[in-house]
Amino acid sequence: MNQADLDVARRCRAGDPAAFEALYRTHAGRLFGLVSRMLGSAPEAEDVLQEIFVSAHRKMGGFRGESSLGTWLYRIAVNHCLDQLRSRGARMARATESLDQEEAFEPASAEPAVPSAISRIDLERAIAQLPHGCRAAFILHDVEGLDHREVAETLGISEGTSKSQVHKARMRLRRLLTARIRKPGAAHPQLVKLVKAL
Amino acid sequence: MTCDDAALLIDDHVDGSCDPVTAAAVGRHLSTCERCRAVAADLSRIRAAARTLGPVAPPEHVWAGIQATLQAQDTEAPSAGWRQLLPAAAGFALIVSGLSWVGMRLPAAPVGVQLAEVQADDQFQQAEAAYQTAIDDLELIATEADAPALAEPAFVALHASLVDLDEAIDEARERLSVEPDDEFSQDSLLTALDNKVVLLQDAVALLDQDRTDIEGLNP
Repeated sequence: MNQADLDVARRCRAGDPAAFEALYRTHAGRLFGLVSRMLGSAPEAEDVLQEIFVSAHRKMGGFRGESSLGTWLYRIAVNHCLDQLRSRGARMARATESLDQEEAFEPASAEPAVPSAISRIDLERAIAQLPHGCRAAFILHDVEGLDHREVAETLGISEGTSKSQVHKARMRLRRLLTARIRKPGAAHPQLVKLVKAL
Repeated sequence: MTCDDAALLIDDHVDGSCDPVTAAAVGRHLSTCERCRAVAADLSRIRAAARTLGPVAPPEHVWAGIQATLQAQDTEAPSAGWRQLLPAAAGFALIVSGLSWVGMRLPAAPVGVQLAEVQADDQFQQAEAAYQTAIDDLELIATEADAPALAEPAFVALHASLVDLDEAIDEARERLSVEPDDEFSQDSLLTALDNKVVLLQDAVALLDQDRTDIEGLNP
């Protein structure tokens, strides 16, 4: 139990605006990174971040110090993201993902295709293009560093599903990042494959 | 080890989570298979790059929005998590009985009175039960033999939304089976139940409208 966190929570409950602002300043960056990546939209993430902190303020009475305030906030944030994704239209994403499940393990190139130094912008853009199911698992596992058991608990899925979603995300990112660095004018590998098949 | 075998283990290998025997077997395959080695190298690069993605500073207006919302809330009555849904749970039985077609079939359940009298610890179970009763009643009505059929687009949209909500309900109940007092899961469950009742009410109202229209055509 972290006494400092309990003190911050107590001050927030007592209506100390400076304590709540300090809490926001400490955790907003990490949570905004998480939320904007999970949702793939910065404007939407701004609204959700606001909801997260308003919700946290309301629930502060329920904070008992069993975890750190950071972990507690993180959990609120993940739940808000999942609710947001669900309400945004899980059906369309699910339809897309069912197609993705057919994505084969296809080691098409004998050389590493992803650049050794991936730019942050390229990676963020590619992550935003992932279907939301595998994106959530990938972000929690590869970006946030949760293990598969924690990812499974957080998302309410099995560990096996977490592993397969992370794998799917990585393979999709490999393709996206490879396509991004193709030389201008070079044909897409799938196009070449299609032309050869004709 | 074949490439297909390697495909199943490549992520564990990249994560360093294989046991030593498996790690050695994958390593041997990678040493002889250029293509799988290329995949492993790419996945390692992606994983390493992902770990470097750090915090993102939100725009300053987000904090201003939070402050404004909290100040506005200070002037309103306080709420407490899922407990703010209690009046909705209590009222649903009455709303259900207020629908003309439904009203002929449903007894009004005095849920509100019961909710007001129970202790806080029991309120969550009472609210869940109230929602479930409303859902059961609404589902019964919607599936009765003499209920008119919804037009296909409406049925498809309704079915898809119900599948989503049922998934959310199942997930929340699963989490609550492990941690019954978890406030986040309680929130999620009651919110999903609330949404499902509203959706079913809309569906029954649509059916009611269709039924009225049909009766108007065939007096």
